[in-house]
Amino acid sequence: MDKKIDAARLLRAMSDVDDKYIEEAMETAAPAKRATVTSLRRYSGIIGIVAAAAILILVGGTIMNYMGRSKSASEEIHAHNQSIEGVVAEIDSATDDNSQGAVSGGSGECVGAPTTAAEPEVEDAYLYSRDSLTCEYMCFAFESLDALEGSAQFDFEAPDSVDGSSDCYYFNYVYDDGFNIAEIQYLDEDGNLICTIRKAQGERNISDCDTCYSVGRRVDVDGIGTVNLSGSIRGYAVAYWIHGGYSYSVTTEQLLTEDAILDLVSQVS
Amino acid sequence: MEDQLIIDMYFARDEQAIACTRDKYGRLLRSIAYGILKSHEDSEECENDTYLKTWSVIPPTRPTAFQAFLAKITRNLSLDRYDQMHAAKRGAGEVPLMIEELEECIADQGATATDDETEDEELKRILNKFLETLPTDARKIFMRRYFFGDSVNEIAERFGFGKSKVKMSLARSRDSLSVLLKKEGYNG
Repeated sequence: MDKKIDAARLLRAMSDVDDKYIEEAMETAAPAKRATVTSLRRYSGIIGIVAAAAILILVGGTIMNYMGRSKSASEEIHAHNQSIEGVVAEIDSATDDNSQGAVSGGSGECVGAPTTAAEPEVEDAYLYSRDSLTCEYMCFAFESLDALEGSAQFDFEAPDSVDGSSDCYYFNYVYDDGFNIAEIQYLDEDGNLICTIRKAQGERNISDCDTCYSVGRRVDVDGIGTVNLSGSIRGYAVAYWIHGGYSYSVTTEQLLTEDAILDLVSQVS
Repeated sequence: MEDQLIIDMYFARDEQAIACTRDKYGRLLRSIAYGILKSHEDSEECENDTYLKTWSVIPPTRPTAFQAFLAKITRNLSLDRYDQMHAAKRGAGEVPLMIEELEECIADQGATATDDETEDEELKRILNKFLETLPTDARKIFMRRYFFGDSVNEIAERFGFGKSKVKMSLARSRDSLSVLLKKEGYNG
């Protein structure tokens, strides 16, 4: 059967999903956030446990699977959360596929897009995903900043945590032309993204958000040079600068004061 | 006006029901159609076709979630129109992108279901099962992308998320769906 027809049918079948999911997706940001706060208060303990276990399983299980560690370790992680056992099995299966195809393709194959990005030269990298839209790069995840630096092949200094964060993800986006971006994502205890800090060689704007905001400002910072800030009249969410042959960006999910975002900038090199 | 009152008007064959539906949901329906068709003219025609279709199926149908009921009709009519418009060539807009992205979920071997109706029912069951397993934010993002046809930018703006979070969430969800489809024996 033609693959294209299947994807089109899958898209068409989305029309038949339960009404509750359609109505849920019609909610806008404000009510959704209120609902989240309410449910978090009520179930904060359970959510914390499940989130911690899920992150542990996702990161730990995947890395260990890739490195060929013993099955018992994986089973030990699985035992942390019986309630998501089915999901765990699926995730393990997916990461197995990804590990096998880390260089040549993996499960997230991009039709009609280049698939020749170089594998990072560290052993514990695993293919995390590809660019959702253009498939221009492959994204590899790491369990530490050291491993990320090894992959990106440059030093990357950044804060261990930011205000409200409890976890970090380390990613290396490797483009087909060899260009690579090192990225640290800071997440809160519920897994929500708080802040993203990036570094890459060269002078490309790597903030991925240069047209997101209407208000822009340039600030001269001692020891760094000009920092480009973007945001709204209520604050800034993007900082982008070039220094010493590298480009950097800080992107926050919430608007910050100028002083607060520049404080983050000062911690990155 | 409450949905049940509007539905009662359909049952009473009161043509004012269509005007009330348009007043309350016209904008939503046009946005769904526009997300797929990227044409204001075609979107308006799909919106009007939605009212006609609704008029023809109520009664006997009494939808429990009127908004979702209308959204599904508009979406299907828009996809039908899209297929007609692009029968021979791949068109512009979000639909080809959505199809391309969803191809990631399906292996080369293709589906094993024996006929269209069986396969559609099976896909519906799998999709509902898949959506049930997703975290709320990820589910909303997935639905906005693949039901409503919103772009990544539109989703990020709607929910106040960063674009990178939206992209990452979609990639993770597609991976999960791919795994589920395999597990369900849907492909090789």
